[in-house]
Amino acid sequence: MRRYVLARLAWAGPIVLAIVIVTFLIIHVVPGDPIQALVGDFPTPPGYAEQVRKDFGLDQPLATQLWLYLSNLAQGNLGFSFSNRQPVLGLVLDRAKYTLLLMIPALTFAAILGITMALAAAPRAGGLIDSGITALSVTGFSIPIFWLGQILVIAFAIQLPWLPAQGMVSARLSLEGWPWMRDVLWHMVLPVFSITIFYVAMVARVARASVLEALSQDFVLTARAKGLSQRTVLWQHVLPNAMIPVVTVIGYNFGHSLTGAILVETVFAWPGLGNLFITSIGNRDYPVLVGIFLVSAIAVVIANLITDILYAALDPRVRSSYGKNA
Amino acid sequence: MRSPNLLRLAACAALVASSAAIAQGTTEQPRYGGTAVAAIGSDPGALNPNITVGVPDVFTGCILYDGLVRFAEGFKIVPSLAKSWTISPDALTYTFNLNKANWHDGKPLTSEDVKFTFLEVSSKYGSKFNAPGAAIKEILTPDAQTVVIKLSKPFGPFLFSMACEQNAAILPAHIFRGTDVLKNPATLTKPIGSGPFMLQEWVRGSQLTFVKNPNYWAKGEPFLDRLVVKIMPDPGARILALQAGEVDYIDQYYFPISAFKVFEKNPKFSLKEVNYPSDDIIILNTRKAPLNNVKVRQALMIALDRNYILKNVFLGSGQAGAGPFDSRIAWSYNPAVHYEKLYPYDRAKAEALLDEAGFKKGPDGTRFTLRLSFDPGRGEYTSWAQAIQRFWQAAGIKVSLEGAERPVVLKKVYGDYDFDATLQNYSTSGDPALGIARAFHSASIKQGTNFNNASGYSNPQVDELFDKGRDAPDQAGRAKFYFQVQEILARDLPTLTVHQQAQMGAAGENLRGMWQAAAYQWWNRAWLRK
Repeated sequence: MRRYVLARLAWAGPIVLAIVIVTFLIIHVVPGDPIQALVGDFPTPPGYAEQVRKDFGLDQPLATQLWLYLSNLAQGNLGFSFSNRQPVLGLVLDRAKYTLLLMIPALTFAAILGITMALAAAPRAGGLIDSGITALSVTGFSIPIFWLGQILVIAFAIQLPWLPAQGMVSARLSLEGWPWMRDVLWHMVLPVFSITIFYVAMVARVARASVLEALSQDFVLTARAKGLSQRTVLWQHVLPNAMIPVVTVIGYNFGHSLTGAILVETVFAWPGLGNLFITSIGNRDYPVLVGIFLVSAIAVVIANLITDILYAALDPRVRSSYGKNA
Repeated sequence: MRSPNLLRLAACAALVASSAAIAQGTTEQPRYGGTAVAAIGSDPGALNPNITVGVPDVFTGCILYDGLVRFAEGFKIVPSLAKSWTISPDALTYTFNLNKANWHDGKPLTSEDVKFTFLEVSSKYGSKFNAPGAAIKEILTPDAQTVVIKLSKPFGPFLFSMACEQNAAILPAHIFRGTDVLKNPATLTKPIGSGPFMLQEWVRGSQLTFVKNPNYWAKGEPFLDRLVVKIMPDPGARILALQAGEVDYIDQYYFPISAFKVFEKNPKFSLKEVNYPSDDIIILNTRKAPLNNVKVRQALMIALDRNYILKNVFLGSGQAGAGPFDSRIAWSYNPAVHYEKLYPYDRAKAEALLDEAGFKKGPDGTRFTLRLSFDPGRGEYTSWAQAIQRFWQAAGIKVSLEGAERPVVLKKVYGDYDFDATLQNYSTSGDPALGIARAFHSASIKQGTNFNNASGYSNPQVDELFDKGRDAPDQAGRAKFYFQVQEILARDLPTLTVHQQAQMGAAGENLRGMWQAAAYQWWNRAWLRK
């Protein structure tokens, strides 16, 4: 098992490096000039654009720029943002925490709700509850998340002025400590709800199919023959067996959580990584874009690794196969 | 060298007029206190309004800094850091008398700061200050409150160019001198201005919080305790936040035309033209056939129903294009040159002109094909391109639509000249010498530089008239040359002005004062009703 984990980690290095190189090249191939975004649309005074280009190393050939970037990366330096005029690492990590503030609760709620819905629906497959939950999950999965966000704002921030329409804090207030935290929680309600709706639908669909499949297995028949209650059969026997696909879906989405809220962050003006991503594309801020890809790639690799470990923890068959091979 | 009394009178009249304008429209007494919230689309790159023309930078920078002058309604030039000024009769010497002001760090603002700013920062890094900076011969500072600027040649819009948003915010020499201006902490994160507000906090991607400058040079101002500038990239989110009352003001650059109808008749909100007139134009590449033929260009204009486009594409906001000069810069606009009279929509006439030019319809009904390059990211440009396609195809001109992301379009149009026609928006910058000449003057044909003369149109007579219009000492003298140049441009049509864009800023009912002026820089007089 440990060798397996180490092998996976050893692979992660080249994968992340490949992602960095490919994204670096793709981003630089896209037409557009970051200097243009920096100095604006008017023709600049003589020498100014050239000076800025030189300051940011943009006058160098692409191969040299890539080499410089990788050399800096090896020292933990992700470069300097053109448009924010500050180091990329701090900028990306700063924004990532705000994104995680939305994504972790949303995915946690989605996992709990989705699995609960699946356990309620699957044993009554084809019945009213199952049809209702299936319809809900199809709807939740199909509604464009940005549209849902806007509708929620119109309903609960404008028509019924109960919740804030945008942002992470109330701009007019100057809060600290617990009142500040309460204000942030208040601002999280609508964006977290929008994201949860989407993921709950996804988890519920996968979990329902998986539970349905487990229910048809012989061990369920045996458990029932032993006289176990429906609740015990579902929670102690069916659920652990049905969890592998569910863990895959949840793990996969945790991996993508850093960039998973782009649309919601845009609709709710949430200062997360998705928001930074959108503005950096417009500004052709290459170092920030590569930095976001890099951090996201690392998050995906880590999430996949944790998912693999969870497989082993959940399923003794996986554990024993690791044992044999390792 | 002192100015004639007439000029001094004009300056005073402008001041009085602006004060009257400020007082007009409301009998309410300004109220002190509160926090106003404005929304813009992205973080500023830096907090120095002299090194870029990017809207977020100028918007936030001009909260922190003041220029020597500012614009009241109708772009009247009124005093700001300069309490008065005189202009010599030959328009070569400008003498400014400064208000007694302090920097946010308590040091006094002096004439040395003005000299340093213009010579060491604005001239070197300010794109809008490029032309006025080149006209400066020397700057004298006879005392701490007096600045004398001598020009090597007259420059019509020189006084206009002294406003903050013209890359002419006065910066503190004691902070910037001897440093790299672009990397100075005052440029990046810790600005030391003399404006009505000081930066308290900048949470990137979220908001910039400004607090009242208690020692502001204009006594009794500002009224607000705090001003928050929210970063909201999504236009829909900005509009919803304004409706929810969480935002008080959306700058015109970030207020989508599509929202115009929603707010236009709602008494809870006010919309107002707040920026320089700006025009939606079709630039024609006159370097090659068939667009090198003036009759073809005229036919293209006649084949377009601009009123239809105004009503259906731009939702009735703004006006149909009047001429090569925007009619809203009234002093320079030649009313005899009006496209509605010169080129009324007439498909049959357009077809006759094309026949006459030698472009008869082929067997498939097509005369020739044009590639129309545009940025679909701009709200209405896709439907505008489709409308053009429909009108021109009706006259036998096939139009292939080439929509691409803005940087791609800019490279094709200004970098490679690889286009037949392109849809662009050109700001007039409030003065023909600053914003209009660049589209037509042959000195502005600079490959690889954006928003200049992309049509390739070159006419020595036009160049001469633009130069004379720029250099004449007074507005009446300048207008004479501009009237002539409009007649030539309206005949030659290297660009087709289709729409005069409404530059609407939007405010909630609670915000007052901000609305009594044009452009960005009047937060000092803004106040909240409750």
